[in-house]
Amino acid sequence: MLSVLTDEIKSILSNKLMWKTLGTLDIKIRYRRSAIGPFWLTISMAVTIYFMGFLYGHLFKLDLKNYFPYLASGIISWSFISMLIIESNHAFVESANYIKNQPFAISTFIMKIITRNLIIFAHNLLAYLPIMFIFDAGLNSNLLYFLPGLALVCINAYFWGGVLAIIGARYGDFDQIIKSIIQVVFFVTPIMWMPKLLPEKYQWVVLANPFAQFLQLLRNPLIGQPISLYTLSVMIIITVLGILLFGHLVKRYKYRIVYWL
Amino acid sequence: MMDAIELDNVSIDYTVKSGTESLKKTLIKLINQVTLRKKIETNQHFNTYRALTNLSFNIKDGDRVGLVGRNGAGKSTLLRVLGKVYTPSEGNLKIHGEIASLFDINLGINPDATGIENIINLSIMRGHSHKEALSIIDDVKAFTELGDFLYRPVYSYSSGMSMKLTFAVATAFSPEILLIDEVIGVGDASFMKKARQRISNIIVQCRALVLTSHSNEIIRDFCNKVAVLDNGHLKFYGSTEEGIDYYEQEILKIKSKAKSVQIAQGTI
Repeated sequence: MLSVLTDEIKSILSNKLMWKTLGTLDIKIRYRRSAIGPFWLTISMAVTIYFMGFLYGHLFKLDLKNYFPYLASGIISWSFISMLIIESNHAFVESANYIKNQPFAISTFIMKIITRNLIIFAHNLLAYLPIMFIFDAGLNSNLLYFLPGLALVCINAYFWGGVLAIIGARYGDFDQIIKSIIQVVFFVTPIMWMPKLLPEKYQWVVLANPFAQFLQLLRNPLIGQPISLYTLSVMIIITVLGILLFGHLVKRYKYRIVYWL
Repeated sequence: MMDAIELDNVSIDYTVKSGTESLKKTLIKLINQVTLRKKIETNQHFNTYRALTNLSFNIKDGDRVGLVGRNGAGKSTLLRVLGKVYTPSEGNLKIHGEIASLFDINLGINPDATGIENIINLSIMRGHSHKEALSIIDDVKAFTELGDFLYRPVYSYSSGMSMKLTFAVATAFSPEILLIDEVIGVGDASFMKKARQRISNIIVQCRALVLTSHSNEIIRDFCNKVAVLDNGHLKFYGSTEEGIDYYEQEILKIKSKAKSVQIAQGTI
């Protein structure tokens, strides 16, 4: 299994030009005909979070100074994580044309999804910048954890994304299943609500939720909080599981994927 | 003389999709099996059949091989094995040299991108560097005669124009080993003449060529060897004229009597 994994990881480096091209082209074309281009992403995200911040802040009767940055960073981080999950399912299906006609390393198409979503995430983060200064949120040394946190999310986006892509290629209904799961996860994950609002005996809902840990990894640095040791240890377990599962599936089904598409 | 391609007992088990592969059904089946503790009769979601059986032959440097056979004989499958799209289920395949394939020339064309962008992307997806991609732009311009259209999005092209573009890119690089699947014979008469000329040029430069065609004329023009496939088996491998004769007499003659292609059903 180790040789399978090293082969795949080597192919990421050797096919860098391919996935970079595939990942950036879609965005370049989509926003070609507008003067501000992909900054439409920033604007639409800004509109969403500013309105929701005010609305929900008043609904929940929360202190806007804390709640506003919390909600904004949560929605931006969640849209990144959920899009990675949803798009990974059809990573191979949408590139079937390529895979059926030429030899390709499967990593190329997983990296394409990660590249595309990183670009979108970066544009969405711009909408968060003003909030940081207005509410004085996240402007401390904990912000330094952001890049390592993002790196850990991307590592998982590769291994778990690969797992999802293989299952998505095999089963036609997997995409729909994941989409409905993601919708439910949105409500049970502390994106719009704060864990401290939960009674003590229900705190496990947050702790047992792996998506909440992914979210913390990105959000906590953005609102100036450290990443907890608990989150970090859960993440390490999830990452190791992902690597093992990915290695197993790739070893077993790498050459079968082309027939499923 | 060196071998460009060596096949040693190569077999391919092809997975056939039934179109109803569902995770839900698979899980329900699994749960039923566990809870009811009995094996349930299932119709397999995936069937495999042996598309190619024990193929052994060598293609030497300088060989121009034409694959002939009826529809479903395994010609395209064999080309995709040689192109490393399908990995042999059994046997050994050795390929000495860099391969390029002309299977689906419309592969990867992006209608929203301009002609120039498509030239660069198609080249990159064929494994070339950015510099190499830029170097073919003039050649493609000259061949396609698309002029200013190359700076407009491909969706504004007629189908003939976009075909010219993809064909020009696919044939802009001369590989060591070239695999062609039925691409000769597209477009109008004047384009076909130009296209054939261009294909001839890269065929002359390549070390080995494998092509499929239903046209004896094309096989005679381009090939010095013929491999006859029937039902996934190699029936004949030798000179062009003998091969075409064999195909017409031994394979096409029995066509009327032969029942439909037998599919060996199995499981993955």
